[in-house]
This record gives sequence, C-alpha cells and structure tokens, in this order.
Amino acid sequence: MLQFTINLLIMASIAAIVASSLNLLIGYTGVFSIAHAIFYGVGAYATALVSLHWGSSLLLALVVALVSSGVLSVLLALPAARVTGEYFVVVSLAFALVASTVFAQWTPVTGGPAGLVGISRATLFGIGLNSNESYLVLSLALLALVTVILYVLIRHTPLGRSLQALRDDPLAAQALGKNPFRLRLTAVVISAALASTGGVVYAGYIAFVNADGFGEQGGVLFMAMVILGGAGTLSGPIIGAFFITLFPALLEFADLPSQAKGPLEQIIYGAALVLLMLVRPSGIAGIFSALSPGHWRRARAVAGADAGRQPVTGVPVPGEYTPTGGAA
Amino acid sequence: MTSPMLELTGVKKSFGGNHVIPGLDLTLNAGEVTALIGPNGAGKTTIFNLITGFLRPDEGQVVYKGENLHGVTPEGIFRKGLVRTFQEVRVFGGITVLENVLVGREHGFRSWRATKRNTAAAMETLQLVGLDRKVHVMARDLSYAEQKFLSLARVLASDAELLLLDEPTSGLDGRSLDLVTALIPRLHEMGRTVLIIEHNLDVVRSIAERIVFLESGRVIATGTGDELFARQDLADIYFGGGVQ
Amino acid sequence: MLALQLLVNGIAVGALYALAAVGVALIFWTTRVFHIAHGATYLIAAYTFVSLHGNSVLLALVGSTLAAAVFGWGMNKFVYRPIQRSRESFFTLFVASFGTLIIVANVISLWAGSGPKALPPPFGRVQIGFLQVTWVAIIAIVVAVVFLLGLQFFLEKTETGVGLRAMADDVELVDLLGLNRRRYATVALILGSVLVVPAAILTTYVQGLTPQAGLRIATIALIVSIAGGVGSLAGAVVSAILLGVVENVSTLYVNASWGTAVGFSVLLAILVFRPSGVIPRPSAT
Repeated sequence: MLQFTINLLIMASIAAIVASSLNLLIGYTGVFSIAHAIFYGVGAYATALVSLHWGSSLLLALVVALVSSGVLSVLLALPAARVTGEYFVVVSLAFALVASTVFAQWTPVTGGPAGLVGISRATLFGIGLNSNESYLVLSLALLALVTVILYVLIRHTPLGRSLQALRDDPLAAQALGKNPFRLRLTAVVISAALASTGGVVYAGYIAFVNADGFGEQGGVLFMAMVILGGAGTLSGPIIGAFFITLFPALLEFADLPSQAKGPLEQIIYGAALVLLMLVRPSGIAGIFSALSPGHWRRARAVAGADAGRQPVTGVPVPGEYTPTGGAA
Repeated sequence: MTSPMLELTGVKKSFGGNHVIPGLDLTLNAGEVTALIGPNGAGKTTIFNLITGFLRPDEGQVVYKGENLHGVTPEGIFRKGLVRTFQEVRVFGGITVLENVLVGREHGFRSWRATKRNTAAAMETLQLVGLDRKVHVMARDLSYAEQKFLSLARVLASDAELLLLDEPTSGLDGRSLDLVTALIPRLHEMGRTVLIIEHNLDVVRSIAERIVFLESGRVIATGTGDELFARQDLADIYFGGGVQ
Repeated sequence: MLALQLLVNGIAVGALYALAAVGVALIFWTTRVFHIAHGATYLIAAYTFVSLHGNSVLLALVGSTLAAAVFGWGMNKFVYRPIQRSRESFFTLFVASFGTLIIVANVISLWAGSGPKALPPPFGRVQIGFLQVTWVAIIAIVVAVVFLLGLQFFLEKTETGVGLRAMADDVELVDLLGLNRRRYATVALILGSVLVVPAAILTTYVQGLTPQAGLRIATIALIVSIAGGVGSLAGAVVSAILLGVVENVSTLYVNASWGTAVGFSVLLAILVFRPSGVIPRPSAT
C-alpha cells in the first residue's frame, strides 16, 4: 500500500512537471499546444540513451534532455510563428502524430515499438537513487524547482511580462515593440526544455521507455491537466495533474473487469472536460478563486473573456501585416 | 527650417477596390502637436495603421527622420521611436497596472538588470495620469477611464519621440477629460511630437498647434485652430451639411 | 508501374479524406469551432454500419446516416451553442469538442471492444491496363466526386448554400446581412456530419476500424482544411488528395508505417511556407 502510494505520487509529480511547463504556453503566452508530450518523451528517450551509452549521471541526462528537447521544439515553434491561436492547436496535433510515429518507428534510436530497456536509476553526486523513496524526493524536488523557475520567470522578469502582454493583446504588444515570433519561440523552447525534465525522472524510475503516452494521446492528457486545473495559475496545472493521475487510482478499488478500467478512466476525464467547459472554463483553480476572491486573483488570467478577445483570424491575409510575427 | 520628423508622400491604400486613402501627403514637424480631424470614415485610423506598420501602403512612402519605413514591422517601428495608442482600450488585462507600463520600457536582455530604474520611471508616469495608487491592481479590474489613462501611461513611459494618440478622450468626461486635456501640452513641453486623432473640437482647439482636416482620405485643409474653425465649408463637411 | 498503382490508391484514400475535411470546413465557417468531434461522428457512423450490415446493407446505410446526423445536430445544440452563449473563447469550444471525442471513442471501446473490426472486402479487383485497382478504390473516387459536386451545386444554387458560403468570408457580415447564424450552424453540422458517412464506411472496408481511428481522421480533416486555406473547399480537397497520395507513394521509399507522418510533414511545411494555404481566398476586406 505504501509502495502503491509512492508510485502514484511519483507519477503525479512527473505529470505536474510537464503540465506546469505546458502552462507557460497555454496559460501565460496564449499558445495552445497539444504537442507537449513529445518533449516529455524526448526527455525520457534522451535519459534512456544516456543511461545505456554513457552511464547513470542525472546531471548529464538532464543536460542532454534540456538541449535536445529545446532544439527540437524549434521545429514546433516555426509554424507558431506564422499560424496563431486556434490554428496552432491543429498544427500541434499534427505535429504530435508525426512525433509519435518517429518514436514508434525510428528503431535504430528509439528501439522501435519494443522500446528501450535496461535503463538504470540515476546517480546524483555519486549517490545512487536506487529506492522508490529517493525517486519520490527527486520528482518532488524537480517539481518544486520547475515551479519556482516559472514563478520567477512569470512574475519577476521582463520576458514574463512580455509573454503575458502578448497573450492578452498581441496587437497592443506589437505596438509596444514586442516581436511576437521571437517571444513565442522563446516560450516554446523554455517550456519544452522544462517538460523534458519530467521525462528524465520517468525513464529512470520506470527503467523502460517506449512510444506509449508520448504522442497525441499523452498530449491531450497534459492539455486536460492544464485546462482542468486552471490555465494561467501556478497551482492549476499541479492540481490538474494530481487530479487526473490520482483519480483513476480509485477505480483500482472498484470491482471492474480490467479491460473496462482504461476506457472508463478516459470517459471520466472526457466528461470532466466537457462539463467544465460548459460550467466553468477557468478550471478547478478557478473554482477556488470564486470561493476566495482576491487570493487567487490571477486564476482568471486566461480563461473566459480575455482569451476570447484575441483576433478571430490567425492565418494572415496575403499582403497585410498580421500579429503573427511574420510579414506575409 | 529643419527636415520634418515624419513625412508621408503619395500614400495610397484601398480595401477590396474601395480607395480609403486615395493619395495622402502629410508632414509632421518635430516638437509639434498636430490634430487629425474629419468626419467618421475619413481614414484617420487607417493612417495610423499605415504609419505604424500594421498596414502597408499600396503606393507612396512613409519616411521617419529621413528613413523609409517600408516593410518595417510594427515592433520595428516602435523601436525607431514611434508609439501609438488604439481607439479602443487595449490594456493587458491579466497583469498589473505597473507591469503594463513596464512592458513598454523593457526590451532585450539589458532590461533584465534595469528593473529598478524602469519601475521608477513607470511610477513617475503613473503618477502623471493619477494611477499611482493602483499600481498593483490587475488592469482588467480598472474602470474604463482608468484603462484609458493606463493606455496613455504605457506610451508615455516608453522613450518614443513621436506619439500617435487615437482618440485619447473618447468616452471620457468631467475630471477624466480635463486630466487628458491637460496632459497633452505637458508632453509637448517634454519635447515630444504628438499626432492626435480627436473628435472633441474643444479639446482640439485647446491643445493642437496645427490641425489637419481630412475627408475621404484626403487632406482638404491645414492650419491653426483659429483658421480652420472659422471656415463654414469645413463645418458643413464635419457636421454633415451644417445642421450644427 | 507500382508507383502508378500507389498513385491511384492515394487518390482514392485522399478522396475519402476530402469528404471528411469538407465537413469540418463547413462547420468551421458557421460555428468557428474546430470540430474535432468530427472523429466521433466518423466512429458513430462506422460502428453503426458495421453492427447493422449483417442484417441489411441498406438498413446499415440509413442507420449510420441518421446516427451521424443526430450526433452532429446534438453536438451543436447541447455543447457548442450553450458555450457560445456565454461568449467563451475558441479554446473552450475546442476542449469541449475534444472531450466529446474522448467520451464517444471510449464508450465505443467499452461496448464493441478496442480491437479492430473489419468488413469482408465485397468486390475484389479489376484490371485496367497494367493497373490492378480494387473496386472499393474506384467506388471511393466516384462517391467522393458525386458528393463533392453535389455539395458544390448546393453551395452555389440554393439560398441556404449561398448563405453558408457568405459565412466563410465573414461572420460579422452575416450578422449584418441578417442571415440567421444559428440556423446555418445547424445546417452545417448536420450536412458536415452526413458527408463523413461515406468516408467512414468506405475507409472501414479498406483499412478496418478501431476506436482510435476517430482522432486520426479528425486530425487529418482539420489539418487538411487548414493547409488548404481556411474557407476554401477546393483547397481542402486538393490537400486531402495530396495527403493521400504522399502517404501511399512514400511507401516506395520508406516503411508504410511512416506514410501518414510523411504526409503530415508535407502539410506542415506548406503551412510554414504558405500560411494562407494551398488555395487562399482573395481577402474580403
């Protein structure tokens, strides 16, 4: 029972790392991506390859994961330069489908459908993190670190202010000298790099990596965590990640045929998404903000009227300058 | 006489065969407050969009301090020292009043180490528009008039030399109106050049050194307030047949 | 010779994608929703057909058409319209649409199992010159052409069709002209959903059917209609066929499992370099 709980908490923390990173895009930049599981996957595969070829150093795995996912994310950011808002959602979905094919089929590197096995637990400063408890500490510490980085970035840096300005009103941000393409690119790279650290923990913990969960299905799940928890708040994605990871665990105790559990889980969170969109699109954190006004005031930063104020068109009209960042 | 700060020559713009700006020449001199007036649909906001790079002229050119702005992006034009407001309030609702103002001052990595200085400058501007007691309020929680002031504060706090203000007084009355009206001459004193679109003719008369009268995208008269307000033909156009 | 064969197959597959994509495009014009629940419509139509076709093919056809139409109508009435009434953002609508797809796909896998379903290939092949073409491919092309021409006729010759096209240009214009947006949204949802029925049935004959096919086909329909140029049906059809052809012809060079990824990469590249689409509409303003 204790191991069961520890396992759940590790998985929830990993999910929270990825969801918080994604929130930098969805909640603070106004870039709606469903492709974020890719970078989680890149982190996991990078860790697996480092472990298999170069040893178990955690820091080395982190560096390789950060760099490779950051570089790859530029590919996703390129369309984000030209295609904004609503259109980008679809682009990111297509991107996720391409990436899941690459994960599953690029056998020489990813091991193909069979995946990569024999990943060792990480070592940090010469100490092997062999127990599950140590991985729980690692995942919680990393979650705390990612949250602090995001907090400082969003609240206390010019970059954070610029991203939120771009989110709230791309045209006005441009009129004040902001380059939308460069800002979106920066946000995508930072967000992807942070998300990959979740994959580093995952690969070492599970000791096995294959394409499952890193494609469009996983991407939807992370998006759901951000949306359900509340985009544009620091706590929202963490709440959403714990909710979506822990809630299905309750089904473990219900007396159900095992092949019904997967679909049932999915139905529950699908229904939660639809109902929440119908009732309160600002997410679970938004519900708290309604209970204690002022305290969670940033909860409503994205959902609702503000996001709706963005220009309707995202694809530029030839010959006109549009806020997408590239001259047509 | 020095060369003009901003010069538009032969600028044309049409939308779907509709010649909104059939050919426009306009010059702004450094340090002047110029008002752009004219009936609705005269193309005033389109001119702002053409100057600030949000639209591209079909023909003609926009020259700022001797430099042709053709093909420069809106953010590039800002960095050359032109800043604009929009007719509708466009505050960044999800960040605070202070953060809104900082956004216009912070560019590039160097600004990461200048937060203190930028904050001081932003506070000074906010004081000027009377928002210094609300610096940590979310911009979306401000009243309409306050949001209007904030939009002004944002462009004032930037170091731009040429300010394009699109109807800064629309929707304001009483004290708020007076505040904005009093503010513009002070900009002038600070040595900034102002081009303002304004419907309130009392405001125009009290602040503008030069008035450009537009109709259907053409300049049909230029002069001081006293010169233009005396002309009945312009009043007829402005008020639609002299109903006044 | 193989290349030519693959080209024909590609056109057939692309023609089916086109049927799914024009529905998505129609729905986007009128509701401004990325109707990813189109994938759910596809699943509902295909599974209804599979479960009824043992009784009678005609019954199965009618049943799946009705089911698709009712689902499309209900989506608009019970999900999109209530959300739009509270003036929510496009992302809210998209998430709700996505949630619906997740629910439908998983209810189906609870009910019918998550494994693949197949229909017996009904007609075999025909020899045309050097080419061996399956009858299903020929039927797919013919059906797609008939439906697309019918849609074109509807959009140009009927009052409702002309109204729908006007909405592609500018929603606000439509309000100005006094066209009834709500009615058009209903028409587009039903029409678009019915258009996906032939695609669902024929694709099931060719490729079989799993609950995961819904997300795949909806993504294809969405990316194709955007890459084609929003508002341009011709663009959607062209990029759908391009996707089908690239998917198939690329198997000459790479493993077949890379097909869709290669096709999507081509469409993504088009979006980066030609963001207004394959066939952009002339701008209205």
